[in-house]
Amino acid sequence: MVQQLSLYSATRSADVLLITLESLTGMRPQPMEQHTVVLRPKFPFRPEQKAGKINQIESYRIRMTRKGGAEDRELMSDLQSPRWNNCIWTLQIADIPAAGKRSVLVQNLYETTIVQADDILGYMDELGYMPETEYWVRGVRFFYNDVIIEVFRVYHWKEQQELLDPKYQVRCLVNVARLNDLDSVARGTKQLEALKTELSGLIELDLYERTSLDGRVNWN
Amino acid sequence: MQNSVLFVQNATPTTITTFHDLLSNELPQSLGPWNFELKIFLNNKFSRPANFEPNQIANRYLYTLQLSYYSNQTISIINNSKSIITKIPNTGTLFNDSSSPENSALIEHIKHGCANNMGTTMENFERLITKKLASLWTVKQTIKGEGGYGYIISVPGLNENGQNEKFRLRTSNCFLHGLFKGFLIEIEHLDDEIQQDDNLERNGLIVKFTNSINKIKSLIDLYKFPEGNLCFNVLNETKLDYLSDLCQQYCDALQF
Repeated sequence: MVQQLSLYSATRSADVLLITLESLTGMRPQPMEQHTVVLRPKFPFRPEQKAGKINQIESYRIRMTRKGGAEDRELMSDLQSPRWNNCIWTLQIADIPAAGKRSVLVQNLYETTIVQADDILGYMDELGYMPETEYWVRGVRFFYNDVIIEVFRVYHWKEQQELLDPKYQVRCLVNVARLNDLDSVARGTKQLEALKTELSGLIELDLYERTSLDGRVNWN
Repeated sequence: MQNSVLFVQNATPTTITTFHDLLSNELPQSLGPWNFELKIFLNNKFSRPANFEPNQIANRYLYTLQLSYYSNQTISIINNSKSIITKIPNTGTLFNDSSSPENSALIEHIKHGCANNMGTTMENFERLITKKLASLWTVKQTIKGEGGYGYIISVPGLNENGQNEKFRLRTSNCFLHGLFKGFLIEIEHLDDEIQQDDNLERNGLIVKFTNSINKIKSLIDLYKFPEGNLCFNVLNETKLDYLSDLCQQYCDALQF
């Protein structure tokens, strides 16, 4: 499990921001090209409803991400395509971000990386999941102390890859490997707050609407 | 390289010590201790199509196998048909050997930010299922292999040209929820020729496969291995895959 601390912003023009980030971090931007397929459970989970029985089991969507660029064609229209299998995928399940008054967003992510599969969709089908939608993310990444800064745009498929939103999304995040590592959480939070101050005026980093990052499926 | 798993259900301490003595007399090359963990999950019947009752849903099984000699990796198969191999992308070990194509693909994957679960974490696939997929799968059994030891032995007189045949043997004591259940022997026929020839046609593969299994059977006869259930099924006959097939054999052998 990864505990991810994050702050968000969006901007129409990224030119000044990119130059600022280059001089702030002292590094060339690193390319980031991702292709993500979102899967949902095939069948609803309807446990027995009995008085006094509390059900705390949730169903989740799975995000499946691989490296993929502008030349990629839609994958979901061809479920037999060998392109599903000859790459590395990371499966991710996301909890709803933690509630309460906080200065950064805190979200638990559960991940596993598939390095080899003969028929990954066949496996996901047996696991109980089917593809729902897919999107691409393209942009750059910077590293500033423990903070990963991502500036990207999101694309979806409409006969070809099309921009979902002309705005550039900015996501600053710190990954903490262990749940009980409070020192790292405190340090990460401080670093994100410092970055927020540093960039204020140019972009305003802020929390994101918590419920829109919820990975759970509602069956009702 | 063909594997099979022999499971001795009625093993006594004498069976085990006798077998280790037998191997030691052959002056084997030692591979050191190892262990494994096999988890068996059953589908959660409350995840179902709208017009189905839980008792109308068929049993399906998901297995995850971790072998200490493939550290960081989990092999998983569902319903004896589909398999995946997952890995914790720990960056340290990756960059030590960044030249291998498999590692460099994984490094590219990480560089583009596709995985967050790195560094010191030991979270594997089995934990993800237990923690987050409880609406779909529930743990039925956890089988642990402890006190295991590995050997490579060279055996004369099993083939026509008079050369020695090499086998890799791994033994382990198996426990189901802490109770001793039996003695497991993983037997692998090491055939150098097979590895050099990846493009074997289907018939060629089957001939090699049968040949290896016969060698393993004659080894068992020759050394009078303890009696047990020998499993050498493969997941997919048209495409032999070493790790998936090994996982399938563990699942077949460890049925309680």
